[in-house]
Amino acid sequence: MAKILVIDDEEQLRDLIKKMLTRDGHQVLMAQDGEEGVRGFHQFNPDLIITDIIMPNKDGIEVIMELLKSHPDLPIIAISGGRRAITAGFNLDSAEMLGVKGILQKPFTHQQLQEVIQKTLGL
Amino acid sequence: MAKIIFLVDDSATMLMSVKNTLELAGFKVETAEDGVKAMAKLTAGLKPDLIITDINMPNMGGIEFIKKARALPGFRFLPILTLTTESQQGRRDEGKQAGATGWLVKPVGGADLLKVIKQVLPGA
Amino acid sequence: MAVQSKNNAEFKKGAWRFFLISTGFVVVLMGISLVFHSTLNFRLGRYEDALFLGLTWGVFSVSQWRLLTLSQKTVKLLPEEQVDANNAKLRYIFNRISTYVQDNLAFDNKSNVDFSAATDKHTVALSKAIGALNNQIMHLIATLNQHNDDAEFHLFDDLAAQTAQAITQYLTLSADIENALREHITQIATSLDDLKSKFNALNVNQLDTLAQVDNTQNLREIEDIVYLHLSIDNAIDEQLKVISYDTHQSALLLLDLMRHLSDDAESIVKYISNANEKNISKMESDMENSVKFIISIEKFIQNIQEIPDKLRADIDSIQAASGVIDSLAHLVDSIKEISFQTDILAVNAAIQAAHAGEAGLGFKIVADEVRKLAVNSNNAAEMIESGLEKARHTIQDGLKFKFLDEIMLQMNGASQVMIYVQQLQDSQEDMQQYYKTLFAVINQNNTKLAHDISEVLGNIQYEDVVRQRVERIQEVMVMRNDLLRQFAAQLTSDGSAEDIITQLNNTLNGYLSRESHHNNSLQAKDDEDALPKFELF
Repeated sequence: MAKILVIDDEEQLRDLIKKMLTRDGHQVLMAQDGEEGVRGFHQFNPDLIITDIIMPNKDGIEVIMELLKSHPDLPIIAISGGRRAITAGFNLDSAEMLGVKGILQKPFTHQQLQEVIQKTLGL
Repeated sequence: MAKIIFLVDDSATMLMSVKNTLELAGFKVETAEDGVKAMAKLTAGLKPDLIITDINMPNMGGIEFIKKARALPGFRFLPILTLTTESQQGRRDEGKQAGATGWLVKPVGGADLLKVIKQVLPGA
Repeated sequence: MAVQSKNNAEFKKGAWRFFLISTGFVVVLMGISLVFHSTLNFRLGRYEDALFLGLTWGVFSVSQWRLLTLSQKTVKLLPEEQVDANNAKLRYIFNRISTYVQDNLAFDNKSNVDFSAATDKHTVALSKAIGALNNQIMHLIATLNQHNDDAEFHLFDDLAAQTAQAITQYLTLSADIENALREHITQIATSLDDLKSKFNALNVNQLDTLAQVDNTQNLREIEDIVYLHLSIDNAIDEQLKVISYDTHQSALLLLDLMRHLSDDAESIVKYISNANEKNISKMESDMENSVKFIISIEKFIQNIQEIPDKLRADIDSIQAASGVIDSLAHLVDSIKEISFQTDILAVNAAIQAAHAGEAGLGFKIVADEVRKLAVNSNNAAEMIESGLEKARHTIQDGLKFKFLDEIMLQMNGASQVMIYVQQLQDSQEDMQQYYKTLFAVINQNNTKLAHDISEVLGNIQYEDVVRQRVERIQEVMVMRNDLLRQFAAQLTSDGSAEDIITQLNNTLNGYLSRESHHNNSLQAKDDEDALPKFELF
């Protein structure tokens, strides 16, 4: 139903999200880090972005700030809580302060992902 | 180099409001409370890129100040805008004759003010 | 028959004279009382009261004089039967004048006494309430500056409650005094209306017929003066309505913008508090544990004499980083202060929006407070800026764990240590990421706050417009009162008030014309004939 760009440096999680989203009928593009993610955004023109926070080569915070500066109403969902989950809550708080429309803490269920996407896209 | 805008008004509220808008937009702002204090600053060496002045002020009003400022060397082509509660045609003509570049009626919103300034200060 | 009528005439003349003199005495006493009250009110600046009493006195004097001259003329010019009839009419008119003067004098005395008492009581209580409120705010800010431990933030709650109480008191008293003022102004307007209608009710033509002398001039002049006075009042009232509308609308808009600012400030306070509490201590203790463990097994590892020093240096930089965290707590206080002050301002703006009748004065107070807030917010923003700079440097300088790579090369067998070293490296990365994120968010929200403050400041310009309108009202009132003073003085002499009437007319027309030049009320938006707000010549 929607074009979704997913940015996360953990391969396992990428695969998991891709399975969930394609099952729901969405068109999915994956990126491994922030830089790839930003390139993918300009090429793919997604309706929604799901991005991790802690990544090498430009982290999620930088991606969010860069994309929202040029596209202030862009729907973005931030996810956090992979390895080194101490700062997961803080990272999601920070992402919200920067203007993401939805947050999701790892690990999450398929249903939780669906709910957040529905809320963010106003479906 | 940031452009310098010289604000002349007897109301502290107006000065704070407009100064805030202009500084946020990247201008450097000088102020004076009436025509006399404004002339003192100009003759002491202040070289603004634009003057914005009120009309009704004590000691020396805006019309007189504009005339005197225009007479200073190097101020013939400087853009001078009025910012006043007066709106009538007669007063606008007076301002034009004294040498004003444009007429603004209070109150003026930040976006509108910056639009007008862009027109009289190219490259700002 | 002729002798009897002559004696009757003589007797009646004497009786009439006696009547006039005795009542004239009473009249003079009342006249003096009127003059006294008129002057008193004038001194107190209550020009309407002074005018009313002055006019009453004027009517008195005029009618008194007219009656005296009339009585003489009556006896001379008219036949006896008509003298009787006319005397009866005169007595009737005289009684009517003295009655309504008496009524109004008593009325005015009472209303003046009540109002003075009420305003005195209210003014004292009101200034006490404002004083209490200001003290609360000062106390609160002082407390915030002294106590910045998390444990002592409960003080904040108590003080906030007390301050809310002080605000409520001020609100109540402010409403009381405004009601009293409105009542009094209504009474004055009513009594002026009353006077005018009583003038009309007086059958002026009766006096005409009696004396066959044109004596309506003074009374007509009084009518003209009253009419012009009320016309000027109407013109002023129109402008007061404009002021009230503009103040009300602007205050509501300001209120909205300041709530927005308050919300943004509050959200960043929450964010920093949460970030502080949850994360830093855990990361710190993790790093300290790792470092302690590594030091504790140094004796079992060869060739690592240098390491303890470097490790100790790292403990120092961890402590420096903690110092940075403390300074962030101060920044939280600054932002809390902004949040609290904008709440006070929001309340004040609400008070002003609800009491928009105080033409421009209340609005000025809000504008002043906004100015102060802007200064404080800028100061806080600058403090945040420099605090962040300091923190950034401390962390960049301190957390240089480059030597960890060296250790890892040397620690071939000591896998346990390797684990802790890895942990240390992870923690260090976490901490760097943490600060990076924190700074990015705070910076962005600083910009948002600055923008919010700018929006508020952009909308207080109406204070200047309103202030000028009020000044023009004061100007015209001074001119009018001056002319009325001249008129009151001139009432005793025999001159004409034509000149004063002309000047009063010019004052009215001048004021109306000047007001049409300043057509920049919020209400005037839909006027298509209006000249553009921005014009380049």
